[in-house]
Amino acid sequence: MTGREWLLPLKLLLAVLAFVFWGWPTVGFLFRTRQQCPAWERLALAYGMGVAWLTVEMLVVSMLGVRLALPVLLAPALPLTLTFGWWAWRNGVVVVDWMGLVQTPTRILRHLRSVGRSVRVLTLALLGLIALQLTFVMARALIFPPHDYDTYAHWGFRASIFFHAQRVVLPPGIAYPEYPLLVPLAETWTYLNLGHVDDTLVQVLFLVFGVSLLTIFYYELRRQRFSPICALFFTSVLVTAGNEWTYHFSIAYADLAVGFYYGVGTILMYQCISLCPPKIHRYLLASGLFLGAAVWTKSEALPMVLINCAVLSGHWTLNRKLAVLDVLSRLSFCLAPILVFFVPWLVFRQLNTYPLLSQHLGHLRPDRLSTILTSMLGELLNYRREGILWGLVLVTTLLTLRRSLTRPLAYLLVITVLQTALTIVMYAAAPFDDLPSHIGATFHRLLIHIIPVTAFLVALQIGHPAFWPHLGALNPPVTSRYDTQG
Amino acid sequence: MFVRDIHSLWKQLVLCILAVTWVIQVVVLLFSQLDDWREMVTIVLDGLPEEAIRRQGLAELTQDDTYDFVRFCQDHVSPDQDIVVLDYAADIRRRVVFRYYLYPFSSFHYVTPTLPADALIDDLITDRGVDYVIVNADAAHYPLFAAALQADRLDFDERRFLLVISPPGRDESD
Repeated sequence: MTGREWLLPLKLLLAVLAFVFWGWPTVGFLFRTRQQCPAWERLALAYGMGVAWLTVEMLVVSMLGVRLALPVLLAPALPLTLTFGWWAWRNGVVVVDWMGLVQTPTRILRHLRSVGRSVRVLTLALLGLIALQLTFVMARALIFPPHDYDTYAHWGFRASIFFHAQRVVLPPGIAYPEYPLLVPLAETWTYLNLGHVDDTLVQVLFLVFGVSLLTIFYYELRRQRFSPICALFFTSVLVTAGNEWTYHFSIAYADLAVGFYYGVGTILMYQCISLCPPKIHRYLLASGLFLGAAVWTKSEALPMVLINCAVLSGHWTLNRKLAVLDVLSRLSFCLAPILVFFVPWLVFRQLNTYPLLSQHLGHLRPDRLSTILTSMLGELLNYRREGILWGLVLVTTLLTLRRSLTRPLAYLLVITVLQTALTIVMYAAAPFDDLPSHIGATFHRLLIHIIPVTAFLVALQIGHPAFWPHLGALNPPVTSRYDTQG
Repeated sequence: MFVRDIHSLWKQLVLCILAVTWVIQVVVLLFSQLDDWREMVTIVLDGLPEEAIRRQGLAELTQDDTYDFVRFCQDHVSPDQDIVVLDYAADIRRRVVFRYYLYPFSSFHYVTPTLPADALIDDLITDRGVDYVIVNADAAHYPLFAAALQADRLDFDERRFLLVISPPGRDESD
């Protein structure tokens, strides 16, 4: 390694930290106290939010005719950060919980000392499993250069073009110009920091997405009053949800990013429904921002997000008996941030006369339903690739049928079922003759979009302390650590 | 009471089965990662260069030695040259890999040819004065370039019938 190459990890770290830096103010604005959002979850949320903000900024800057360069992109950050910092200081808002970040390892050690031997061994085993999986994907991301089709055809190719052109421009004749650009622009940002195209190092961004997702997943289970060991167990279930899922932690595809944004957005939305915090608009804003970022990551996320909004409206109309105007005003907190991400991309598409609808959609052909179901089932039964999560959700739903069909869990179940139905409809409208091979090539990636939500559903079905009272020491009912009262 | 106990027992039994199934799945997952671990350790211990790993990965994707051709092209041209790529390759995977690696050239014209090969080459090199024409072609398209080959206007990698066409009167080392 030459002297200059030694700087690469540092530059990569700075690129990742810049995302966090961009996301921190938003997360600080939404979750203002330490109790509302623990330090490490704050960090994980900030990373995702920062990627979304920075990439939208890159698109807007490029549309204004300004060259994509580090000083240009960082320039708005300084006044914004100073203003936000001043506001946060005046209002006692936590932006970066430094003490929390430092104290967490000590807290874990103290917790391990305070629990019984069996729980300690189990906790260490689960931590070891998660660490082993993350080491594996990190090694793979850093050692193996990309050799997957979509990296060359779409995501990586676009990033390379943007980096060399220093603006957001697609060459004529490029396939699927309507694809959203969060992932290519995040990669472009990393290349700008590194100073050259390095399609191996850039894969680390996706590992960070994965780690952030696991962190948020753990802390959101804790928000649902799961004990640490129980939340840790279901986090390990998530990290081991099949070879395909783990594989995407180490490659530069958009599907894990969609899984991250859609998963976090949906989980936050579910927290709004189940915990009913008084200052609900902040949770709705947070949920809307992450769902909007999902739409900005991949076109498939748009109907998924609309399903979420429909379920949320149904909850407010049917369950809470809110008036239409109230429903609309609450829904606007969720929809407005979605538009923040969607509108710049829509304008860009209009300016360049790219198709508005996905080219993967044609005429709906219900006659292909049996082929679709058979092919999808075949994929789901691929035990080595998909793991047991899909079998697990079926069994746990049957096992907890009464509870799963009762609010609020029913909403999560409805969302999962509707997402599956949406996948079937999308395949029925796919303009491909050889449908089984199309399903074989794409279905496992569509599943990645809903794995976090499905794992969360399974956790709530069978892991909730109220459901397994006899587990006693393993899963004692925990008083919520989080102040959900706004 | 008895019914509730039976129900609870049944739930515990299912939970145990699920837990065991999950443990088996984790073991299968970890075992399936062994090959990758072994490969990664070998790469690190042997100090295998990234290019070799990249070549191997691309061979899996394209089922041929596209990466060698990419390197061949990269060695022959420089970013400040005017380059035209004629893409005859039928395999979409080879096309996208080729396009990905050759992108950063300063004046890169990517065309899907409609004219007969020889006439197109004449048009590009003689009339438009481009520095290099790179042809990404499958063996099936080789006869299209027969005349150019006979006139010694081509350098090519015979193994794959992938061609780099030098402009007339210029040495390859230029």
